[in-house]
Amino acid sequence: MATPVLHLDGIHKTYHMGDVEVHALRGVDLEIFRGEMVGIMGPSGSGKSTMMHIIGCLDRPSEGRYTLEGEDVSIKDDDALAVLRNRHLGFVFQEFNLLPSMTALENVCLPLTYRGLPTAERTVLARDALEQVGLADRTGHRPNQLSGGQKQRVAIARSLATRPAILLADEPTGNLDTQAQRDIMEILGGLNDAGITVIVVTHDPAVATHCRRVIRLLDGQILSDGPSAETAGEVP
Amino acid sequence: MNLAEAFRSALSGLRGSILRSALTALGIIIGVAAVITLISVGQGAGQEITAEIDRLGANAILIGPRGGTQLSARDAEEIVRRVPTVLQASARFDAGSTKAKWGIHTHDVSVLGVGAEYRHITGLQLSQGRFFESLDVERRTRVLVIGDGLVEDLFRGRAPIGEVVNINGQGFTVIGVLEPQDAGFGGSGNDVAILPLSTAQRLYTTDRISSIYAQAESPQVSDLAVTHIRTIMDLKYGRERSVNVTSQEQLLDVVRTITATLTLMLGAIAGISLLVGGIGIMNIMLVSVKERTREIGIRKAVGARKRDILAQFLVESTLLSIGGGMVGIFLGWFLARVVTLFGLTTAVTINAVLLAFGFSLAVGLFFGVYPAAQAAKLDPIEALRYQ
Ligand SMILES: Nc1ncnc2c1ncn2[C@@H]1O[C@H](COP(=O)(O)OP(=O)(O)OP(=O)(O)O)[C@@H](O)[C@H]1O
Ligand SMILES: [Mg+2]
Repeated sequence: MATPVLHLDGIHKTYHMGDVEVHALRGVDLEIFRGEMVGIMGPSGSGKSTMMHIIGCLDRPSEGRYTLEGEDVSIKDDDALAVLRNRHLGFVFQEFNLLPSMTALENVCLPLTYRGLPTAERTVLARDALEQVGLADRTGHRPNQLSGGQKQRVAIARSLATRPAILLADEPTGNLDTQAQRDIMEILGGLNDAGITVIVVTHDPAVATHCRRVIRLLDGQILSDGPSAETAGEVP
Repeated sequence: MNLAEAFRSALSGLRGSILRSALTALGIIIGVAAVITLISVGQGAGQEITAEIDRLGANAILIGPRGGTQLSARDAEEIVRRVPTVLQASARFDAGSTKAKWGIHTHDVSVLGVGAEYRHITGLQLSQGRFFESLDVERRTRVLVIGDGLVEDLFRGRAPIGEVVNINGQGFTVIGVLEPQDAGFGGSGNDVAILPLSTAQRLYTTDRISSIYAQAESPQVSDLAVTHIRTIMDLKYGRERSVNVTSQEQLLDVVRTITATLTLMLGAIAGISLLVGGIGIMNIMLVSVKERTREIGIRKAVGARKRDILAQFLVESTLLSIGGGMVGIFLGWFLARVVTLFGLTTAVTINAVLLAFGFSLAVGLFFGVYPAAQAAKLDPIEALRYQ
């Protein structure tokens, strides 16, 4: 196969809480290739979010090597990571994390602002992204004027607007009802079909069926890694 | 992200809590208004005193007795003769106050005896008639120039020129009336009766004089003239420091120094309140950074660098302080106008305005840096997880 778009090599993440050490990740090796749609499952506290944060360049591993698009990320400084997040990665959170004082369009524009694009170009890209998630008619709404599913779609549009190579979603459907869950997974599936590498954390086996590959974590280690059909039957 | 963007996000940040922003700016508003008002009072006082001194006449030099010296009219002549940089000089005899009478009307006046040159040295202006000449002084003519204050009280609407006014039982013919003037050092106000020196001395049966007014050729030589006069007088009276000699230039210098010190002190007192306002800004910015931790986390997650966050919060604190500064300048200017209603002279100078503006800008930057740096160094994950 081709070179992986991202490569985790012996990743450890240890949190220090006073004298207590919490080993959130304990030696994770993982390769993900361009165009894959990967589901990540595992019980609460198994280290899914921690791994996503590291992949998303929001956090650094305590140990190990993380290569993104052929570049060693572990040695980069904060501002370089910010640029990476802005250029290559889109992150969708369970809690949406939209800015309440801004309209949907302004929220989607935010990453484009930090890329330094002129206003006109930003607006075009942001409208595009909102259209892609089916919210062309909600651009002027503020988050508190949107439903949960719509908020999450705005958040997806925000992560899309910069045309990232990789889209990371940490339990994007966790706060949503079944219909909205289905919509969101459809959108993510569509984006994957369009060529974006998608990585989704989920507790829901139904959601995991959308993924061609499912990775299971337990206690900070990879328990299994394979096609979703193979793992679908197992107990999470 | 450029400055315009930082400006925009800062504005929306401020708009998010209008009342709090306004209250924070109030600290700066009061500080700047205090700076503007107090400096205007200092500057106004300086301008007023300077105007007084200017009324002494251009390049005037005052010579007064010191330590028991008894000056005489001959000293004035000697100064003109022996000091080349002195154009003219006049002795002045302050006879004190008495009653001037015309018919049944009386008016309290200060009686002054001076030489004819006095008018030119002090730049007295007349509204009617003429001032007396050297000849009047020589001949002890019984003539009189009156201040504007006597006209209404004594003559009740009649033309004063040619009328005979009675002072200490003797009659003097009015030949001139002075223009109304403010009371000052050199001026004697409006309730004054000016007689030829010799006439006044005879009236009071004395040959005493009180002081000498001299005029130097130019401001450049006035220091030289002062030294020269001092030397001549000391020689004549046979001891050091026999007279006080002060030039208008020296008086102006003193006033300038006093005004500068006064302005600085008032400005510094006001500056303290500006500083307090700055601490208010810092306090609010720290609260704001804490409150908006999550927002900072979101901005960082989508690619904001340290400097982007830093710029946003710095622009925010600076907008607060500049906005407050501008309102404060207007308020200060208004208060300076109000103060004049209480009889004080105030002067809002462009320098004071620029100083206040620059100071409020600096306060915003200085007290904004720490909170902004706190915001910029937040860890994105920790910020997103905040509460
Ligand atoms: N900032 C932190 N400080 C200390 N411990 C932490 C921190 N973040 C995570 N942990 C610990 O690391 C472990 C993994 O957490 P993580 O959030 O990755 O779990 P998760 O798999 O995402 O769980 P969930 O399904 O509940 O979201 C947990 O035991 C958690 O308590
Ligand atoms: Mg999690």
